[in-house]
Amino acid sequence: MNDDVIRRLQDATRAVGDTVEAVPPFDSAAVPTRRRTRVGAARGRAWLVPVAAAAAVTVAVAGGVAVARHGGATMDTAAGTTAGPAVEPSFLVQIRSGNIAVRSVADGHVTATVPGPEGERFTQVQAVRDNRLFYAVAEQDACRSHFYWFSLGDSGEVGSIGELPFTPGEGSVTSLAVNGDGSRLAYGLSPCTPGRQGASLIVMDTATGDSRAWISGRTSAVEDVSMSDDGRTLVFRRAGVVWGTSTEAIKKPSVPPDATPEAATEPEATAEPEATAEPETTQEVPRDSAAVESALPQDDGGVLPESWATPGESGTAPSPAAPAATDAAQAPRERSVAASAGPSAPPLPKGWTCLLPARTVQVPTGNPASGTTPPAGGPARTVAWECSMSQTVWVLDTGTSGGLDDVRAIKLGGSTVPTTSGVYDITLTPDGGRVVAVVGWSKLARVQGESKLAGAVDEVVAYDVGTGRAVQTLYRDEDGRPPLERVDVDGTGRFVLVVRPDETGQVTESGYRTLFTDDGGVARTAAW
Amino acid sequence: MKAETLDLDEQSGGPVSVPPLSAGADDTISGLYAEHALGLTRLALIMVGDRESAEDVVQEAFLGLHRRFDGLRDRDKALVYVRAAVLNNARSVLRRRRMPSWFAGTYDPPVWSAESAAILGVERREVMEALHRLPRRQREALVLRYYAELSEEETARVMKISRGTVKSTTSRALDALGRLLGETP
Repeated sequence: MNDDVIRRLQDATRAVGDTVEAVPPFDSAAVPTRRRTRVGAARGRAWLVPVAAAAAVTVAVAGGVAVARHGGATMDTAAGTTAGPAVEPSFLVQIRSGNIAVRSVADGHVTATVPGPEGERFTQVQAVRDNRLFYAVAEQDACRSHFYWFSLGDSGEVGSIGELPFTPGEGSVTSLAVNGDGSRLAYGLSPCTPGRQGASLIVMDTATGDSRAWISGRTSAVEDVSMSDDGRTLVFRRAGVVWGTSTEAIKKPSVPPDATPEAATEPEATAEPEATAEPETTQEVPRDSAAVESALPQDDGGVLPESWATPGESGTAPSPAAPAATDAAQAPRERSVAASAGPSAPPLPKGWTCLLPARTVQVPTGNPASGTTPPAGGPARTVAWECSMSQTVWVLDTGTSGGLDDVRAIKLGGSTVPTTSGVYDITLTPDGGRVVAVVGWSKLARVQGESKLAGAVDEVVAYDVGTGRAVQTLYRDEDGRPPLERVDVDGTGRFVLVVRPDETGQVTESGYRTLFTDDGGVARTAAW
Repeated sequence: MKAETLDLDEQSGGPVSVPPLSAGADDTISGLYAEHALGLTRLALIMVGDRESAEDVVQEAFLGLHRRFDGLRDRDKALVYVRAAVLNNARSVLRRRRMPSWFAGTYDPPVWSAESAAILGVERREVMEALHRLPRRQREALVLRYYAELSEEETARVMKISRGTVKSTTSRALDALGRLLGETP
């Protein structure tokens, strides 16, 4: 019986598939050569202000970005927290292939390797503020993990190592955070058993094992958890990797500008705040299989990003000291929708958000490319931004009650570029005042009918934890290099660790510095 | 006739050494595109119904690959990524079509619909319409397994679910499709 169904299915799908006989070319030659120069880094320094200064300066954020001026602000960080033995990091730790590598910040050399305990693979590692004590999670199998700790000597050698007498519950540990003195761990836990729902966030006392759990009724995993020095404030994100691109540039000249291309790329934004969800349109997941969707982006968080509800938001963001770049001239259509765009337009078109590509679709032009004039007189182009991961961040005050789904959410926004879109990773400053995120965009261009990647921008941005508004761009890179994928802030709040697939670096008040280039594969996590 | 361009290379089973991202990356991505874009576009068409959306879905998947290629140097992983991206992008297309019209825009009717210029016949139309009445994951599992002819293991990797879930989902999907087509009591 099923054979017949399969036969009919194959016959029909093949007949449909065969209506396509050829595909348009993909011209990756348009992708700019990845340069190794530091042009972007040098330019970035112009408005680089340390996290600590950003935290110390009172800024008005109601209208968008307020640029914290560097001057007068001391580097005394950790406002409002007890000063502990936080020190400038000498070492950082990374997980590669299930093992932990300890590397010297000074020269990048590996000072120690902590192999996964027998039969286990390290999946998470975090540093305490003294940069000597570290906590890690190793996975025995999909359902069982264990906590470990190790301490480093002055040369970066492992002085001692041990396993905590407490284990996470059954499930998969999806993220790990530690407070300043190492007395508390926070971790995300997702069920590993098909048929069971409910991701949770757990805060555990490392001395007693006493735990408190915030349980979710949803399946979206708790990711990128980070904890303030005092262990009171937690930030995290929900759900999985978002694959998707904005499709502004993928328009066909033959169709109206509000036609389908935009539809192709809504990222799998998952677990957006409840207020933004429109669950009626996301109920495609069959009841019997929803519970095991732990790896795929979930539908249960709704698909309409918050920015849809406030379309004017990003257009109100004043430009900080960003230089006006040629990109602005390449997207004049944006001016019609970014009403408040002033003469000092940011280098990237205002009003563009990766989750909001349709903002421009109402511009009545039959040819999306016709209104643009490239600076060099080249082919007409339109520009769009790739987006990747959700900008929704949950902020948990551990002093409050309620379930995980009741936690306050903020939406990172108001950056110098379109409403922050491709947020790769987040972390919390020790004082609990700022969310530092690595964000990235790709610029797409449609040149003579073909979509091309025309550039990329990556930034390290500090956001106010209360409002989600950007207060500081710490670093900006326009070299089109591989994206900044991981970020961590040290115990002093002055040193931001950033990881690219090919390079690990730090951002401080002095600017960006390469710590070492990658020679061992992509780091799954990095901390100091 | 067969979706030969979707054939998966066997997984190498070990780390693959790949030259640094440079000219080699473009070559690899171009190679993947040349080899798989047609099959993926057909797959996307089956999912979203109209060719233009299908082409966009695939283009975006490859642009995404370009963006992240450093993390996906392993060719097998890159292929899994593009396939997963095609599924995700197709999903987004379908989801957005359920939204208010100014957002969703306009799009051509499915190629299997009566309005379409592509003549497929009543029986095939019934199958395609039934396929699209299935829950999303059942539909994806069926198309990956029986159109793209991926193995259960390959399907599991693309859908990021367990092999057992692929098996059970596929089984349920076949039952449901059979019922919709009146093949079972």
